Amino acid sequence: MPENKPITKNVDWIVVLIYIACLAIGWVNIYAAVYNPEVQTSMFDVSNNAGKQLMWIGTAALLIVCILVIDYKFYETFSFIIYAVVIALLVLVLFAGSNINGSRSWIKIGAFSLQPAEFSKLAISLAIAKYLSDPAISLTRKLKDYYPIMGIIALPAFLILLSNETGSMLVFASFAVVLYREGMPGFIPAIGMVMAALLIITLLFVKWYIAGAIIIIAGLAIWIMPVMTRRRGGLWATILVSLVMIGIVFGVDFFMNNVLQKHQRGRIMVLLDPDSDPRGIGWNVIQSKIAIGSGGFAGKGFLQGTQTKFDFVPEQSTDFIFCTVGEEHGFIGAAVVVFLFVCLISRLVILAERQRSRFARVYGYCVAGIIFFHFMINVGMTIGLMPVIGIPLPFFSYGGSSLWSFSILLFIFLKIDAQRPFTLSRG
Amino acid sequence: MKNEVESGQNNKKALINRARTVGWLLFLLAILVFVKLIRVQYYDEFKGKTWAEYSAKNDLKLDTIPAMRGNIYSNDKSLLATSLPYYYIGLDTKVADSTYFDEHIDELSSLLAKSFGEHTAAGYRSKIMRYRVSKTKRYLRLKSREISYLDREKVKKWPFFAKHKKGGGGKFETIYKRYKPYSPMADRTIGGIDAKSGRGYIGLEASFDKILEGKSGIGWVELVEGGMKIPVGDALNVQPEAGRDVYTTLDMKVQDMAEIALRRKLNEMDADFGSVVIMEVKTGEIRAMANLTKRGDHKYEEVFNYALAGSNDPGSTFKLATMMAILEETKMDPDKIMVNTGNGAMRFRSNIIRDAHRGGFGTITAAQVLEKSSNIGIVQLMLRYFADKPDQYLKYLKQFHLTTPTDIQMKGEKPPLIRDRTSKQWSSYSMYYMAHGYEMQMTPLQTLALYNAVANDGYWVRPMIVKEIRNAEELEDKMEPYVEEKPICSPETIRKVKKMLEGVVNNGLAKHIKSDLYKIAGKTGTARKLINGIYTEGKNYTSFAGYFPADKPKYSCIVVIDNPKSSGADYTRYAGSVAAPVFKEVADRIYASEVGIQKPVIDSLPAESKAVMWAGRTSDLKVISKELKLTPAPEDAEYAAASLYKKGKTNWKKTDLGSKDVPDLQGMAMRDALYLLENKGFRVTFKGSGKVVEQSLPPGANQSGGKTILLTLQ
Repeated sequence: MPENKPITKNVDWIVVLIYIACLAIGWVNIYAAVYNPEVQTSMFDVSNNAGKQLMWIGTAALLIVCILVIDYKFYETFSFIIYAVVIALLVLVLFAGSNINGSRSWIKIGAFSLQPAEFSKLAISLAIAKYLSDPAISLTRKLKDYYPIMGIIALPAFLILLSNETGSMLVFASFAVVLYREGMPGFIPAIGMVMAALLIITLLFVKWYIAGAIIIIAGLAIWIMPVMTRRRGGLWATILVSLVMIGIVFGVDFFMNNVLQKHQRGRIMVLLDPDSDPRGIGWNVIQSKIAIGSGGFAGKGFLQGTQTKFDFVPEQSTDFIFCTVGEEHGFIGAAVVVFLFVCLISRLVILAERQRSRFARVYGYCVAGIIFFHFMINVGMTIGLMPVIGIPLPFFSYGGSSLWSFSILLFIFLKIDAQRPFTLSRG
Repeated sequence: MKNEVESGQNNKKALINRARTVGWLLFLLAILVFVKLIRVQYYDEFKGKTWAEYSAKNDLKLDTIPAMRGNIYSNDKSLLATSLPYYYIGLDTKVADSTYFDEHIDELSSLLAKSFGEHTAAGYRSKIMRYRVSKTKRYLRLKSREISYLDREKVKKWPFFAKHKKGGGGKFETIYKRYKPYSPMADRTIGGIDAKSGRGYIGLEASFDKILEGKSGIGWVELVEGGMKIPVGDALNVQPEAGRDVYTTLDMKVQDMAEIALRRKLNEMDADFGSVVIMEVKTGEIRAMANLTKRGDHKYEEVFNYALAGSNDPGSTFKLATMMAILEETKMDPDKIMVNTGNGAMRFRSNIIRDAHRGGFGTITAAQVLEKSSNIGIVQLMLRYFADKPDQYLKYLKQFHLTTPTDIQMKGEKPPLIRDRTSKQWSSYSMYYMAHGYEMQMTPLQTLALYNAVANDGYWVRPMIVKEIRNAEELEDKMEPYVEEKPICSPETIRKVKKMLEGVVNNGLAKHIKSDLYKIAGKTGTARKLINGIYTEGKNYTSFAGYFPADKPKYSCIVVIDNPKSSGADYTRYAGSVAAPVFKEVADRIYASEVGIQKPVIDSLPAESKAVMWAGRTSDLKVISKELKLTPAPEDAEYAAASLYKKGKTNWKKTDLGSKDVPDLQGMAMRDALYLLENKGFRVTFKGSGKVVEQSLPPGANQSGGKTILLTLQ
């Protein structure tokens, strides 16, 4: 029986090796981030974050063994149940959670705290994959097929919002990639992008000017389009679209000034102009950029980063771990990390594309999308490309919940992929 | 692409094309990251600069961010000390863009001039403008002194401070100031914090500093002109952890009573200082700790905690300990043993020991020795029972917990000084002087602990002033009262000395503070002050220590008043006239204000009483009797009256007799009486107000209508 072949033969070793490399580099850099020349502790000392991370890595290894041992059908069969369990945890944390740094999103078990929000990505991925595995579902033709997907994403998003952990919620935007791959019409992500563009433009210019510009462009379109395309009837659609866009411009203005909290607004403003508040919200970004910039080509060397000694960047072992890499190992180190992620994500996309079942493919895309989104936002914010959103860099940032959830997410896919030769195509 | 997808045929192919699109998109974004990375590393202005350089240039400093200090609360949870935020206001002049700046600078300047008035509007404007164009300066402090929270709320609405998407550059630096809502009450006991370090240095603030201070956070601050520190960034490296709240046993009502009484007496006697401590007998919880020191003519302030750290020869209050030692040793009956105190002066080796009473007390009982506070008497008793065994006497003092500090939770308690035979200063006289409270040092609190132990049937209780530590509302630590397991002496001895202490007030030196309402037990003490090594006549340290109500002690209390002055006779400067009245005033006030310690009224009622407590309509009385959990009012009469029995039983009497009879109106209110009588056809006249105490026609008399009845109300 081919199924009896050891898992080690079929598992995708490229991904496993990248995974191990990420963990190792991450761990060393966490040590560098918390390293204090005056009070030196060992990398294995559980009193510092590096020692703790090693413990998390060890436990993650155990989890991986379990995942690989369990029958691959388990994940598909139980995906909705896993989803339900995570939802239950998210509800539980609202009532029984401990308050850490203003967000009530941690469950404390003895000395350890877990953050159920981290596991919501896994739950949503499984649930979406399971739902789309039904061949009758079509994202190209039937609008009503979208409702369950919206529900699957909205429920945990709402619960996470209640526990004040907006960063994790934004990651759900990465599911757009999956849905697009599975047939969602292209105009939906296009609208999203236009919205984002309008948002940024609105921040930069006076809203009346933008409204005027939209009207002029619309006028030109109405005037030119019939000549260009020989098609008529675009008049009302164009007017409608421009009105909607003007609405968005004013909506964004209202949203920025009245809905967003001060620090959230600040983080977006800083993205456009870091010097607008160099001592306030722009601080993290400027300091982070200085750290990476001061690393130069080859970096200052392991444990030589001055930011550690002076603690300039907050959250250095968690959200801003990429600074440590950039400062101590310079452009080479940063490029290696970026390269590792690019390889990992491309490999995951390739693996997803070669799946025979839709469940496996959708799930694979989810994994790739989530990791990509995290990578993009996290690295982006440390180099001033993205607003500061507190989400971890997968496999690098210190933190048990995120390490566990990413490891589980990744290895469930590897397990399913390892069974691919024995799976029948279902579409 | 949409058309392709919908064509169905090419569905699968189109979707695979989408995979390519997604792939390219990811790749493009990755390239973007890469490009930005290169830009940051090679083209941004930060290249190669070290952090330390950057921070030095910008006056940045990693600083501790002080945690919010915890509050101190009284027994009834009112605030005794808290930290209030105040704010320095400043402006980062470089933040606002020029449109905003030009539009709002005049408004800001005039608001500043109007509200703070440190400069004119034009002055503010030019100053801000100077900073805005300056190459080196950017940060301007707008007001030299800090503003309150309410003012900050106003300033927050001003231009440059109000929220605006571009940000105006207005900044607030928060500082905390300690505020004591009850100040100057119990000032010294609550204590204070050092303005510079923010640490408690006296009182409870110092004793519980570790708990109150919390844990400082760490964060980057920018040092700007005027020593102001502006936090940098919107995240701290280490979040500060607020201090815990300390819940004391102090009762501000009692504290107030104690201070008022003490201050009045100090003023009257022009005394140097005074102290009052009031403690709950069973638990040792201190309800009041007042300390007043003379600071000029008729001016008394809390500057030193005498109760805790002011040691002195206690004087005659210590005779209690000596008497207890004698009783423990001999088991004698103090009413039967006689002592000859002679004519008030006794030659004791080379010294003369005197009694305060001129002419002496003659031959008196041992109990009277304490009641009249005879020095000669106590020395005679010591000679009789302890002459050759000083160690035995010292052993008793140790047993009475007098040789060690009370270890109250406050810092700074002065340990008692009681010499033993190994001491250099010990002489063959020592024991006899100690017997009446000399050649030793005790704080008022230590003396009080002994009297409290007697009140508590011999069980010594450690004085306590803090009973709970809370984190926000959450209980973190609860201090239980510490009561020693073994009594300090036999119940027999306690019974005897209790009787003597009551005797002091009933027919001894302090009989003028006797109260009709409740019993006080206590002992006066007038010690001559030791000045340059000589016990000086005329300079007295007076005290009164005791407890009340004596039959069921609830509070123990000590009053100390130092160096009272008066032009009158000697006795006007003695404890009986100085400290004892303060004790009485405080005890009276506490007794009056605290229902719990008053004797239940019911106890004083006769077994059966005719006196009417309430009378009226039964429908009303039913409600009252139910509320007060008394015997229910009768159902079958329209009107009834109640009189009380012992143990809260109620005797109900129906008062509405035959329809034409004159009813019994005793105890009725005017409203009920009038209604009842007029319904029966009487004309009513009345005098006084309150309840009916007299009626001109006797109850039960069968009088037809039309008669006039006179009611007397009281």
